[in-house]
Amino acid sequence: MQHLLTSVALLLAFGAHAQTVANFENFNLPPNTFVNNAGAAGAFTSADIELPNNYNAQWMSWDGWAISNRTDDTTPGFLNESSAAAGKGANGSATYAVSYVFGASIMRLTGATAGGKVLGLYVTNNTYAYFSMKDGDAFAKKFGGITGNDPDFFLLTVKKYLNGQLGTDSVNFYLADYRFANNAQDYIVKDWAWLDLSSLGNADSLQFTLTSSDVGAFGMNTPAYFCVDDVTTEDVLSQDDVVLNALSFDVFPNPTSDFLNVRLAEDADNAIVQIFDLQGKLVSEKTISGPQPRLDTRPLPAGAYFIRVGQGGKIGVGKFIKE
Amino acid sequence: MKAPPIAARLLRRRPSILKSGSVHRIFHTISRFSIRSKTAAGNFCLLALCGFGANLNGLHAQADTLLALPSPEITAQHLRRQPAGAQSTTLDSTCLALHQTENVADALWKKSGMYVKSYGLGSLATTSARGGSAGQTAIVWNGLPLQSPMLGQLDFSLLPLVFVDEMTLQYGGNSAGWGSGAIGGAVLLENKSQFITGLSARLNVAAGSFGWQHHATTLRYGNGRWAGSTRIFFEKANNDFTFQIHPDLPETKQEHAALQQQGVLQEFFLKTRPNEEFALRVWLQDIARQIPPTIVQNRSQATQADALLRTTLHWKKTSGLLTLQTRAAFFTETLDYRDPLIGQASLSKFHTWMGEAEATRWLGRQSRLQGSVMQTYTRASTPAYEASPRQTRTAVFLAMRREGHRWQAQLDGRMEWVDGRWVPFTPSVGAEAEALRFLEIKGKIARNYRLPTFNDLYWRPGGNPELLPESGWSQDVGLVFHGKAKQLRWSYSATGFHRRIRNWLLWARKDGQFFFSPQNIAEVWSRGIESRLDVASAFSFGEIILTGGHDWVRSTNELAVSNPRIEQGAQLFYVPTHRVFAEVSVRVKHFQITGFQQFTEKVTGINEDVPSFSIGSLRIQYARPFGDWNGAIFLHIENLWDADYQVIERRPMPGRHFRLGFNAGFSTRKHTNSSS
Repeated sequence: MQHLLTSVALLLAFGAHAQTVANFENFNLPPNTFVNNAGAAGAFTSADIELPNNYNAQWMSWDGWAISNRTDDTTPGFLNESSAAAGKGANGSATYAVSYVFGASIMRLTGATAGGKVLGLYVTNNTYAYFSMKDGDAFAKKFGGITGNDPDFFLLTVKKYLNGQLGTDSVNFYLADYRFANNAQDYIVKDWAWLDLSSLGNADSLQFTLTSSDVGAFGMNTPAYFCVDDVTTEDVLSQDDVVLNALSFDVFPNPTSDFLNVRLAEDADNAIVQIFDLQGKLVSEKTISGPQPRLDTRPLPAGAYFIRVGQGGKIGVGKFIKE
Repeated sequence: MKAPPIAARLLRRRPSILKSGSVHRIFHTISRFSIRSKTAAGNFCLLALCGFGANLNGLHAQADTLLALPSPEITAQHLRRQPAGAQSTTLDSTCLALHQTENVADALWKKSGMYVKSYGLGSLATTSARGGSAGQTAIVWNGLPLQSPMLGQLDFSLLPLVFVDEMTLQYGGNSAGWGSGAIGGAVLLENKSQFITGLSARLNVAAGSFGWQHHATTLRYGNGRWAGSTRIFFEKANNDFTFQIHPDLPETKQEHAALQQQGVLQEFFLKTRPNEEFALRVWLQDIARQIPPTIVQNRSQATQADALLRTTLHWKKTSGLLTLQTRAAFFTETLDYRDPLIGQASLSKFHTWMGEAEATRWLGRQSRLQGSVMQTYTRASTPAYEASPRQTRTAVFLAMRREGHRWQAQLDGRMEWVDGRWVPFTPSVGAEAEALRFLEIKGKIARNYRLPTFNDLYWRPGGNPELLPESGWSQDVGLVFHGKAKQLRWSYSATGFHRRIRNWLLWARKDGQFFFSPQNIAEVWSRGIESRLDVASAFSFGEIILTGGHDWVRSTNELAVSNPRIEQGAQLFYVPTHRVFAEVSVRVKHFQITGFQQFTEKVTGINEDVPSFSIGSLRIQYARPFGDWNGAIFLHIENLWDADYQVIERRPMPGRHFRLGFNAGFSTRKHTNSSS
């Protein structure tokens, strides 16, 4: 315990930014493998990133996210939905995440990253979408159209959720862009490209949507896929969180056995309270209101915990001991 | 020909309005006309642009057809083939003899009001009849449905006319008669049982642009008691035509569009007694074709191989006023789709067994009653189905027709059970009358339906076993004016129709569902007016025949759908509001020249509108007999004005192209007795 408190104290004192990179290598996939069923968990987790997966066993189909280390960057068609156009992960790695976007795909921030900041990630097309845009297929047009002059595009848009609210700011990234007056500048992303998301600020989760210029009565014709890798996040326990966005609050009794009272400078108003264990794993989350809301700590195993309270765009971090 | 006594009696006592002989009476001066249009005047003969061949090129067919017209067989199926009050057109063997190198899609394009949705030369062709979907046109071969149970439709480009003796096009709903799918119309393909004595043979050889070649031979043989017919065809084409994809770009050559197909239709006929006969038919066909890229696709390596076997056994017995028939059939088809470019291989297959027993009885002098029971069993498989689903259907059909001197009326009804579920009772009532010497009036009200296909029910993902049949009511009213003056015959008809189909099947996304699945979410209101003008004049040196038509069709979605994006009141995809066509045929002795021109208004496509287009064609033919032999040479010029056009978005059609061919035949036959 002394060690923990010392670490936290040092963290707060020196204002260090703890960064975490989710590179999906933790899945240790056999070579040339694609996993599109997250099982009962309903999500793939790498570092502090959680990628929801919706697998339909009856139809053997999926949407959301999948994990892949496939390297086929030459075969077009939907049977190659699992490969990145780059043929490998970002920065020479093997494993990456593939998203099939139905409406929107969500990336959740968990653990010490929850409510923190996504600094950025690497992104590229998947092979199916890449060749569909490059050459066309039975349903989708080749970008540029017959003359090569059609101002086609395939756009990835990222927004954040914070405290249940979808932000208005967004970061756009053109996975393909044929809108240039000079067709020689037209491009379809094939290599991994860094997408800086730091401007979105703190977030609980990110929302990814795709739009295309190739739209018919049945919706977007361009295959709704993209790939990501090396999602880099910043922990909530950073100087920015504690100092720049400080939210003052007390917790008592501390240590506690059954209940923990939270007292803010003002009455709590739908404040988000998150409790993390020492490994940064989110173990409890609750919305509180009132002058002195009470948390039930009885389900928690004995030990030390961080408590993070967010309200009105401010965040405060504290700690307590469960006996 | 000699008709069986009872049939001859029936024929004599039938009201004059129904006599096929009226064909010859009305058009005695141009009796070679061979397209019969079913109007209120029964088999009133309207037009015949194929007529030239009836006495020249079609000598072999002349005996088959013109002699067959007054035969008793016309009473056998007419209750369903030509129901009272309905609009239909028949292309008999004389007409079809001139199109032996073509397919049913070609014939529909030029000879019917059905809109043919062609994906290109040698590619898929489906229809839209009276604003219906592709699956809402029934295809019936000798009384048995041909539509794929998996797709609910058929590729008309794969039906060679050399295998067909007579084709009847029914407009409007006739589900009471033909069951599922006969909502917009029906295409009836008929083969005649021809008990010839002797031998006849015919050879067709043709070649044309884009590496096209077509060879066909037909042999008929028999001794009067038994007979046989063997038809073989082979077709091959590269279809590597060039097209102007954009005014600013050089011409583009169509790639990967080759087609090769071959088939054989073998028939055996046996007359065990004068009033009893059997017909066995075996239809084998094999098709291999490449699937070309769209104009916004750089390349395609997809191929499709179809193989089919259709076997039927038909028994018929006439006893007094009663005619009994049974039909047994086994159909199996495989569709092998491969795309090595994307590593896809998909093999689909279905088997269908059918059995039908039918009885038709005259009740007094003016009424007929027909009833039938049909049992169908189908099994299908494809990698997209979880197992090999099966379907059992039982249908009961009843019809009653009463005929007066200048009128006839008919009441039909059908009940069908599909895997233990009832399809809504499907009645129809129609009537037609000769109101004035020059005017006939007709009308029909019918309920119609289309069952969900196997793909609708079982496809993964999306298949929905709980789907209901599409169903709704249709109404037709038609007026036919006709007259004659010296050598001139004319006819003008106007038919209005109205139809509402509920539970229309659409593949759509449900909320929160990332894949498409079929749902009974649409309602379609179709209405329109079909106008036809036919004029024929015979001269000492030949004849001139003019036919023209205009179709105005509104077929609109009445319920808005979000995905696919369909607005309320929007016209259905690929249904033109206006279509106009005209054909002029001039015969001078052994020469015949036929010009065809049509205009199709722009249609809504899935991604973009398909512009309107106007194309023409020209056909020149020289035909004459040489003793027992006869022969013809012909030249076809298609897309005469070299127009750039598409029928389906992104699928180019060829510019001007040519087909040159000849046919020759001989006959030693002494006698023909033909029936269906």
